[in-house]
Amino acid sequence: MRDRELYAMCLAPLVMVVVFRYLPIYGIVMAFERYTPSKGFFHSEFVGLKYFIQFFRDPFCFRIIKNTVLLSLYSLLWTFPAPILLALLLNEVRHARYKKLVQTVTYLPHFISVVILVGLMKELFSSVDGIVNRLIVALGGSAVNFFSEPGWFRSLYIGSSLWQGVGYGSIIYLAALAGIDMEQYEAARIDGANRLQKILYITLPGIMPTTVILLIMRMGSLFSNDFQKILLMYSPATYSTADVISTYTYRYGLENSNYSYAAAIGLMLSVISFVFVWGANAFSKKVSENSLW
Amino acid sequence: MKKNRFGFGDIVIYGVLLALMLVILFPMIYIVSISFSDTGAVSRGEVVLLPVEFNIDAYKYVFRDARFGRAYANSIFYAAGSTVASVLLTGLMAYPLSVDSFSGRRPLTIVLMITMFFGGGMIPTYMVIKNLGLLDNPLVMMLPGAVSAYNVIIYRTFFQNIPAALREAAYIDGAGHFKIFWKVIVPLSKPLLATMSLFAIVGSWNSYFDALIYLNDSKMQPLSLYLRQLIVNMDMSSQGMRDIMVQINVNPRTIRAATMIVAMLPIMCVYPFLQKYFASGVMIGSVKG
Repeated sequence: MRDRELYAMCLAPLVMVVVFRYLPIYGIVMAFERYTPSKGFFHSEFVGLKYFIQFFRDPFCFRIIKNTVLLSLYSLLWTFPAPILLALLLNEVRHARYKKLVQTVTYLPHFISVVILVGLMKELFSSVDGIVNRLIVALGGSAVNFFSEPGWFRSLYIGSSLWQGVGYGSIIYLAALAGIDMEQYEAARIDGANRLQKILYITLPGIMPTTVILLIMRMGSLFSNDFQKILLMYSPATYSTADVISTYTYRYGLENSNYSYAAAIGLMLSVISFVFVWGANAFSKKVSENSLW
Repeated sequence: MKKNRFGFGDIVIYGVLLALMLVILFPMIYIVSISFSDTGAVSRGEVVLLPVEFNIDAYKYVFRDARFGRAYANSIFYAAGSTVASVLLTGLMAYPLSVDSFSGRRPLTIVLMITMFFGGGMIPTYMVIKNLGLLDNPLVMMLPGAVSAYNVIIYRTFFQNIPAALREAAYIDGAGHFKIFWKVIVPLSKPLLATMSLFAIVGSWNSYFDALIYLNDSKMQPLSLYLRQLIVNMDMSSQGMRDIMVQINVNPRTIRAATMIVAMLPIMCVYPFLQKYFASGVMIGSVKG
């Protein structure tokens, strides 16, 4: 049977999937065990919901949930519409070369690593020598300690996300814009529609399906932030706004070796995320024809 | 059609986009200027846009640091390994799924799709890797992320668009699937493989977290972790290095800047090639199912 050859072909990648994707899913049982590395997933003592209950009694529980949700909500509020706006602006540019230039420049930061991104921020915003603080002082203000003020954390986090992601995020909308039938614009022009009316009645409805799909997908990450960036940005001084569920999990699980407790928190996070995507999808299916599945 | 006049609205739009470009470019230009400026000028805050008292002392320092060289070599090694692993394994997974008559097509697609929605999370994944004895093993930088369902779908879609007649011709000539894959599919998929390789290289080059948790041996550190220490923890190396710093007239800021530039260099080199392809890459990915 020729299928045997095909099975042989995908054997190696399937082993990878099973080992690195499915074994960890099975490993979730450790959230219900007092996991001891020497005993492994199979023989550690079963403790039921102990670690889940422990989480809700944790004095930091409320703080990290609040930080996670607020950071995500504010991020969504800024970083979701920005690429749409950029795509709309780019769509109005009539000189192809200028458009290309703007695209080349704005896509670039996407490829800068998060470590360098934070490095750039620290150079610009550092408390003593940073050029931003020198500007503030030159304008008569007093220097701000951006990286140790909890009040500045969210602005830095979201601002750098915008700087890095606005251009790249617009690509998908530009693709959607390219799919809009030009005849509609032609007809609108003959009817005497101005630029704003064309945007409102043709362009925006044209990219609506893409927008809704992306919004649903964003719902799934409402409880997860770019914690690799946070890990580089935060310090105990800013924990009060910067410490989110995933950074907390990382500190407890890997730095302090409370494996089971951290796994339990992680599991809750995944479940909540899935429920959110599912809920957003169901909602969207009901009110419009757009859905992920 | 008569060309519309360049009106007030256009001026605003072009202006806003110009401002955006300046905001995006400024930090990068600034860091380049810092790296080429004199230490004194940097600490006196004289550098605003262009280098002051141009010199390359900071770069000399960076290249003198043995840890930097080793980290750079490690990063190249990990990027090469993970790219080969990813392209090869993803291709081998995607090809069978692109064959219409394959009986395992539906079940295996489901097996893959499940991983898009469920995962074990950070701690269980860490435990699996630890139990496999992969901590401090270079393979940990190459294998765990090699097969992603998302990429498999992109490959499969591309393979499906290759005319079936070509495959059938090879089949009639007596070629098996392995042979069809190597002799027909792979040569015809070069644009896809090139694009995906570039993305894999960039992804590997830029990542730091896996190295942070899986590699404890400082000799195995990739460049990103070295940078993290330099930038985030502001750890300025040993006493011996500090002596050298004084001798060759550099300070932590010029060194950090120079290190970041050297680290970004490979990405900037592949960026023009990436740009040619990534629009299409993102679009393929957005196609449903």
